[in-house]
Amino acid sequence: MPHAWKQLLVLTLCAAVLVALLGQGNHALAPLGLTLTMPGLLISYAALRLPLGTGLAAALLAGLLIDSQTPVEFGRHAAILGLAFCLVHRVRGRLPREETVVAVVAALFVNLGIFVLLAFLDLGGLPDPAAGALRLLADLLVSQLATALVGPWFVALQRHSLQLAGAAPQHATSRFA
Amino acid sequence: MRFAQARPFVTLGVVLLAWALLPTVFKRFARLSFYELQAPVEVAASYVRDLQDYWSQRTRSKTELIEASRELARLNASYELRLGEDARLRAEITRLEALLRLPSYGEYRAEPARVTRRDFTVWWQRMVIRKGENHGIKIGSPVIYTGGLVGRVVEVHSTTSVVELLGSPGLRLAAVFEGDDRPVSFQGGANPPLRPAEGLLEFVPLDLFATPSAPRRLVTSGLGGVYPPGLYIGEVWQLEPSTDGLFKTGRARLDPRLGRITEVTVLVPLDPHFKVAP
Repeated sequence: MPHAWKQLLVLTLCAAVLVALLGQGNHALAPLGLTLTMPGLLISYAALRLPLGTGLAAALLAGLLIDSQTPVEFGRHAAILGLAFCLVHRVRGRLPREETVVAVVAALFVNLGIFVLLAFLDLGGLPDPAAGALRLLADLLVSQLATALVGPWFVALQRHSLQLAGAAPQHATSRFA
Repeated sequence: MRFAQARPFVTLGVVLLAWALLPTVFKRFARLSFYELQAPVEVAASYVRDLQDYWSQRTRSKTELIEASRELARLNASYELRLGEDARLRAEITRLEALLRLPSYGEYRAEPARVTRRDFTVWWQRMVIRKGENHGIKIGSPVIYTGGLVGRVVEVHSTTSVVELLGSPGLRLAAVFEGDDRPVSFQGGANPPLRPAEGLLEFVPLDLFATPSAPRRLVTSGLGGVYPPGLYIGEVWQLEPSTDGLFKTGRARLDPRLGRITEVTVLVPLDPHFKVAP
């Protein structure tokens, strides 16, 4: 199997694991009226470490995984994650992108951006936007906290899975070394 | 150099354009495939939770189990009495329908199902249940639990179904205040954090009142033919005159148990021509 295909397969499987775990976490959090979402984590490693084609495909597939379980137009999350991927990929040359902490911070910023974008797009359509905004803010706080906690583990999972599959990305030439 | 910087966005644009041009059939197939690939994970997780419950129940002492079985025996006795009463009332309804030539209420088959996943976000409130096409679940079927109405089935897959809950902004239904027969409009959608979900009411007659200290029960009206009448929806705790002054608007607090629900009953219509308007 070509190197790029292996990378795509491994990252998609990792994304499926995270989506499944988030589903279980949200199942447990449902009585509290809180929701965890970590779109940033799904794309940050791919955007920082992988080539454009493979990384973008991984981001789009992760988006489709989410889309299949949500009552939105199929492809919406894929488009949002694709856009977030492109933004991170665009600036990655200026970052020490092999560092785990950079991947987690990038994920936090992507989460924030996506929450703001969704609030801008959809909040007005809710029957009670004030309650919706409050809920969205609470969800953002909980999600950011969870992303900061889970992020290092998930980045390590992706890195080691790629190594196990013999598809580790090439080392970046870093100006921060 | 400039093109190199814009390359990710150009690539994304090309991919999205190609996606937009794809036939809907392909997207539908892809969605179903992605869903069905993930479904076994959720179902397996729910079986694991059931197993955890089982082993936690095994830690109970014999005394507790004896007390629980006594309580169950009492409940069974009272349910048997109610079954007899129920059969008598059904016969009476059938007799009156025949006498007055009234159309009969829709008949349902009760299909109990375990909840595999609750997905309560600000944008929607849904749950996945562990029965689907394999048990004849139909889209639009009402879903109930011991506390009243849960919602309705919006998607049916091979072994799972998706239920849209009362608190979901996409769910609207005709309701009535208990003891009153004038319909009001109920819509879910106020889902604050750390509190039970709420629904919003419209077109409430001006002579109805409800306050936090004297709330009123809201139940299904039976209008529209989807939900049977008399199912508990929530407690109306606020009513205010609407901006046009012709009606009142209000808020209904939904049962907090909806957030912890683990088992529901799907009322599958027996009418083979049952269809729900989108």
